Amino acid sequence: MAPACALLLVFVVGPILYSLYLAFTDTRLTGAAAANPQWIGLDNFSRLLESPGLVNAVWLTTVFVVGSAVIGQNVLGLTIALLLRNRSTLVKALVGAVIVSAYVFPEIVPSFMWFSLLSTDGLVNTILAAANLPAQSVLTDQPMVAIILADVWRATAFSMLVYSAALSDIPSDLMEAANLDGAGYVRTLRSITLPLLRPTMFTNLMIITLPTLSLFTTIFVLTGGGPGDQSETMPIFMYRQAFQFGDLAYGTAISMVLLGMGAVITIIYVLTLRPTKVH
Amino acid sequence: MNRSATRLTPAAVAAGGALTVLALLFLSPSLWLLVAAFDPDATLDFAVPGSPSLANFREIASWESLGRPLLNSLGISVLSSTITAVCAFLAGYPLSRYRLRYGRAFLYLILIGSGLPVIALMVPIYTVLANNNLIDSQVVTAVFLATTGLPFSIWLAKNFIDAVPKSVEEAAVCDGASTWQIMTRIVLPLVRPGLAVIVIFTFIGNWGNFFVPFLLLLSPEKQTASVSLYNFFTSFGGIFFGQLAAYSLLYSLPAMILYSIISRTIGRSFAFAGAVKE
Repeated sequence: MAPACALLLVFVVGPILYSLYLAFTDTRLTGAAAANPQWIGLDNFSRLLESPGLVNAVWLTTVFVVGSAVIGQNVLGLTIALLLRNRSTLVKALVGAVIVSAYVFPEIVPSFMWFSLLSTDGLVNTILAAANLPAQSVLTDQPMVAIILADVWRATAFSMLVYSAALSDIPSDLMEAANLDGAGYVRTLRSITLPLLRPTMFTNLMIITLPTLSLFTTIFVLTGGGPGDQSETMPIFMYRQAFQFGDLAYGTAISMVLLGMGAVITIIYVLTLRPTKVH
Repeated sequence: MNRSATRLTPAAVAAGGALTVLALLFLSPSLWLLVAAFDPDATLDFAVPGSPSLANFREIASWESLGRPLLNSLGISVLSSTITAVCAFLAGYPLSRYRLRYGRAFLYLILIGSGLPVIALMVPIYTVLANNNLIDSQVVTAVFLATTGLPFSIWLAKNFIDAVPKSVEEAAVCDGASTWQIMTRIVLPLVRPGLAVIVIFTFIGNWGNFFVPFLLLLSPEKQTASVSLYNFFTSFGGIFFGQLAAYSLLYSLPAMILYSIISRTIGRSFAFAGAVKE
């Protein structure tokens, strides 16, 4: 266990502890404060709390997590899993492969695809024009829609796999009994399937929320957080402050807020899994 | 086929239609990338391609912009997933076999760690490495990547080792084998398929990682394919979209092939969320 512990200590526990110090200094990327950082107490945090940038970033992160993870990936993944149930093996394999292939692309590639699809004369506007609808410049007018679309496209596969597995665990005699009692599809869905899926849904939401919360690359490449700060979620806000404006200490304060958001979600997740996961 | 033919109810037709539409929607972005890669005149604008050719691939085929970055990605990814797998095995064994005093707490920490946003560590990591002149080192980048993959991999390794029956080891203990011999001669060969899954899974993650090399590496000659692609995108993305698509395709291919090898096993690990509900 020693090597694993050493690495985790150096690269995970160490930085967390170091950031506790760093966030209370005025460390900068370049200049005098880079060589000789001073202890400035809670200044970074009070500046952060008064900053409209934080309010904006927390709000946009919430919109992004709800739009992409909670509604997009979760509902779409469940819908596809429900539609795939009882289909032939061939249909399952084909549709599954299409959806999962989006998930397997290296994270930077989908951003290029969507950048092109959503551009002024891209595929989306070509289709809109064919349907006599007005053209949209989604990337500049609705940047949040653009990043949510791209992330839902990429990440829905995970929820689909989770729900497919959970659906196959539902005993078929329950369904048969419901059918004998004359329950239709909607009734069975509402009274049997969805209640049985509730714990899965909770777990799935927890797992997909974390990567969505900390998603950087897709947003950075697709909109760069812009125009202005209109799609500046927490990770982008942190990156800009720390590396574009060179304020490492301020960026660390932001990442601590992000770490806190992630920790709360993870702890809820671990606590709910406790009875079965850790033996 | 017969079974589906007998079940051709309106509901099945509606579900089939909905699935077809969804599959087409999901397929179109990748399909567009594929088409653009073989269309020498491709731009950001959508256009039905003329005559397909390999011109885009020929254009991008250079050592500086394609060969070296891909080789850097390969080296960093292989090194880091090897470190991850070795450490995960060494940590997973005692966690699986012994009742450690802090074993349970450690497992909780591992679970929490596998969920923590790695991105929140990047600013302090960068600062520490910069203060110690360790920025722009491929080995440091690989070791850092290896660490970020550790929590989930330790968890996987423990589960793989759990599946090896203890009776196999008891026989070896009777013959006087040491713990190290048991680990390397008996358990290791049995969990090799599991370790392969860990290596491939972390390799795919490292191969695709953009932010870590983007921050921790500076010199163009050390840079990975993800960053090289990003630089190409910011300089010529709109003009030479065909070449960008061709590069993206070449870069994505290894991840796709490797994923198809482990998809069955890792699909089951993903599905643990469904399995732990009782």
